[in-house]
Amino acid sequence: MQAQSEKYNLSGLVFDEGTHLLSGATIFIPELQLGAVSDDKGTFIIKEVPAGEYKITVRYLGYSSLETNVKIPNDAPLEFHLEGEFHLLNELTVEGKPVSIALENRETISGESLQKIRGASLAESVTSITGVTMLQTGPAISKPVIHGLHSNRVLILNNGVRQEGQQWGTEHAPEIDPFTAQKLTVIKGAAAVRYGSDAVAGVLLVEPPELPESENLQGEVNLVGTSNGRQGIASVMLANGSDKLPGLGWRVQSSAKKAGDFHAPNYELTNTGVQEVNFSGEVGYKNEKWGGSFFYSLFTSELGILRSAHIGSTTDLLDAIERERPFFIEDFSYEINNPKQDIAHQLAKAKGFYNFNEKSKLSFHIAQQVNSRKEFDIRRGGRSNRPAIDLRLQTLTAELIWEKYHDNNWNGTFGITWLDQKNRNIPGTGVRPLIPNYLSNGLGVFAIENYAKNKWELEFGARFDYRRLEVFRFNEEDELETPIYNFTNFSVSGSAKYRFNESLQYTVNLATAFRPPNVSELFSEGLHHGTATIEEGNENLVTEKAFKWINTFSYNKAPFTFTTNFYYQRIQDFIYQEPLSEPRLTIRGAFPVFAYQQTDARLAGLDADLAVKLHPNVTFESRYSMVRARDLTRGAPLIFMPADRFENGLRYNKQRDEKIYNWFVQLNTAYVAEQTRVPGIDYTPPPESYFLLNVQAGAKFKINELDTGISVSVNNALNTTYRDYLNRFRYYADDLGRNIILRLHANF
Amino acid sequence: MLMTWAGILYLDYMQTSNIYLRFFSFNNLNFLSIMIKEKFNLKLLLLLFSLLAFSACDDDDDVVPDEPENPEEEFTTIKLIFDDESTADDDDIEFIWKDLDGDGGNDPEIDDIVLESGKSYELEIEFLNENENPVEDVTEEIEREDKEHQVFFLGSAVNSLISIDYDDMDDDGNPLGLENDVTVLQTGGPEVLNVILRHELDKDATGASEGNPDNAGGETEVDINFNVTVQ
Repeated sequence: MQAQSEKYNLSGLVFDEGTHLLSGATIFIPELQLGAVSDDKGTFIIKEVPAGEYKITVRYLGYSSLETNVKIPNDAPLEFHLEGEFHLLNELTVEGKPVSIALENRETISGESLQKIRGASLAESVTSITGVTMLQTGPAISKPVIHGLHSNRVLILNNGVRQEGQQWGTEHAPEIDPFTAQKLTVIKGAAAVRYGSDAVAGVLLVEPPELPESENLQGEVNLVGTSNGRQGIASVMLANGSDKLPGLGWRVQSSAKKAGDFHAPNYELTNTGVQEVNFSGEVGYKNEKWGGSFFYSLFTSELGILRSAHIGSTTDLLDAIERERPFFIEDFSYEINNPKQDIAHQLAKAKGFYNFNEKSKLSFHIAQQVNSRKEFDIRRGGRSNRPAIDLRLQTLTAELIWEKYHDNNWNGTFGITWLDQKNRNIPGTGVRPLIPNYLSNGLGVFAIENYAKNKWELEFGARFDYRRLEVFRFNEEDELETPIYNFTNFSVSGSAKYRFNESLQYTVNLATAFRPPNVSELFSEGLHHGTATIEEGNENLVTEKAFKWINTFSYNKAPFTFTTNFYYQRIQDFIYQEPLSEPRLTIRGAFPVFAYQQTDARLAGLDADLAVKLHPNVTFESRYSMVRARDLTRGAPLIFMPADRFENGLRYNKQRDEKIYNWFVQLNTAYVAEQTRVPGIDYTPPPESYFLLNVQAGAKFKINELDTGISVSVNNALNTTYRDYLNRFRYYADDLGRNIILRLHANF
Repeated sequence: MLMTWAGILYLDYMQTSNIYLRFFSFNNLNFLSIMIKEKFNLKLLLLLFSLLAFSACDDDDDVVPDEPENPEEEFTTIKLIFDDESTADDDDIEFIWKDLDGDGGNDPEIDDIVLESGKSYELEIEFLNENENPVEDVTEEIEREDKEHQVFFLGSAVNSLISIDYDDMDDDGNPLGLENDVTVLQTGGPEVLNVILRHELDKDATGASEGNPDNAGGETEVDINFNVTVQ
């Protein structure tokens, strides 16, 4: 315990996201029951605070409340930046400001916004960002879609490390526990210069909290229950630092999830249960000169695939489409039967930094990932407990970054990245492998320069990449072939931001990105169950090259907040599946054949967000997103593009006393149009448009020293029957019916 | 990876006595402060990363597969064996549907079925995997799982040129369809005989036991067509 005889005045400023000072914000130290309100210049003073370290909360109407630790005495006045809550529809906060050295179009979900969607899958969590949708394979599998693209065209960075699972598969969800994240960020743009290949449409960053640097035990518990699927989710986090050695900190976190069969409005979706157990931990040390940490995470998931989606022939699929109700409907059960997936993903990462001086910093990380994917099918002769797909992917990534701050408003980032990957089919499946074994290495070198002066910010970057792929496969004559591929690529980017005045700013990003063909596009061969198509790889594919142009206008002046992105993307040698005119006759009947081909594609669209503060307690919000995508060679729309979405919400938010200090009620609607722009090669036309109503209410209060929150949401409150074009199981069953979600949260 | 960690801890333990024992007991995290102050220097850091790199670059020999995976559940061949009921047993006529190279590659070879007018036949069906050596008779697996399987006969030839009735049953008394009675109705053709094998179907569904798969669901394992001519 520290001596508390000395008392000090604590002063500071409260800002919004930008440079606006906020008057009337409440600054409060719960432990001491001391507080102040910021004056009309945004400044505050809390008088006679005993020395020590305290948790301090800063709250302002319409902004996410901020919680942080302060040390008293504090040598400099404090500065607090609050994030606006104008994204009430999905409770996200937008950081319109440039982040250190990056000028990309970034949107972030964190803090309270993240709290309100806890329990959702990673992909579902980020759909609260306009322009981000999800590609689903039933209720348990979802992948993020950014501006119409997904899988190998969206890069996911888990704690700074490229997530390397079998991400080429549309039914392979990212192997990441969203509870590890304190912050989910989406970069809508071709961010290849900084992040390397695959960042064609954008990047999703999953960022865990920083380690504590001083002794103060922090903990967080989240409990979520949902009526649909009778799902229970629990997550616990503990972190602490050390006063004996300031700078030393650790954190452990674990979560578990169990769900049974989900249900559509009129029936159970048999065999859609999920079980997840996850763990992560980090320990690290840092001082002003250098620091480092070790991080480990384990993700395990077992999930059922809708029983009725398992089909053997085109006739079965057409029968399933004809049927009003899925063929297999059984009573609710937690049991997960075949077909199912069994997945484990481990990540171990070591990182460190060294400050040469105030203006020069070297940082690096080295990380190893092991992804194990087992898929079980319904099989004959007692083979059902042997996986039909058994893949093990090991990836080593390393990155060395040097950041240099020059004196003349310039600063630069230079980096080298390395990747080393090995994919293996574990023998014994009794099924010809879907993708072959391979080794892959990649080297990337990049430089980004950033200039900021007055109303301008500029950024330029360039990158060179080399990727080698060595494949080991048996051909149809059972002879071993070992083709080797070499890919090289050069990417560039340029961005500029101009602040017209305090409320209006414009950002433009121009960037190229690339993606070497992945091994499934080169070599997959055979029947794809579930979609009833035969896929044919193409060994002659070349690197896909993209160019993306995004314009962002943001206007922020009470009571309005408005942001809009216009984007235009050209993709040269876009890899897609071309239907061949002749179906192929197999022992299970005739199947259409889709061969991987390349074309030139164009995607263009817009995202728009508007929030209006109708009353100090009432906010209205509206979001709209659309994308138009064309195959320029064939003059036809691209398949599986998200339909136009229009969402609106009304929220009442009230701050009260210190006990129940915040409660809210909100009503959201989502309208998803029918996708009318389709190439006409699907088994069935896209589903009709639909309209969903979601309701949520919640409160935050204090029990002793515990900050607690409770909320109840009703998703699909009207129990609407619908199917979504981007759910691959729309052939077989309706989407989810009403879901009542209870969330409890406590932290100290 | 864990091995690497253990290795590092062990290495350092050898040099610095009892500091790490506390790590394993987890009762006091101050061990790290001691470790960092005293020992956590750049050398150790380098050692750690080189070990991490080693663990990643373990030998890559296992990436080369020893032998191709053997597709065990495949059918390559379906044999329809017609036995003329009016004559001796040894004059079976076989018609074969065969696709040795699987779903892709070359087209299947399909025999044309030719039957004689006015006859009745016993029709037996065999499912074979001829890519196995010796040839695997998958029919046995189907017989063992008879409650989960059923053969259906559809197509324009059925009830125009020939009629087909089940002549076997599973343990529940439902038809299986590996053995059948065929009656030739009239001359003509060619017309199509569509042979379907379903797995995990609902045999109690309406029409299933009469040979109609429409309500039976399940997964189609075989769906092939023959041309039938009656002379």
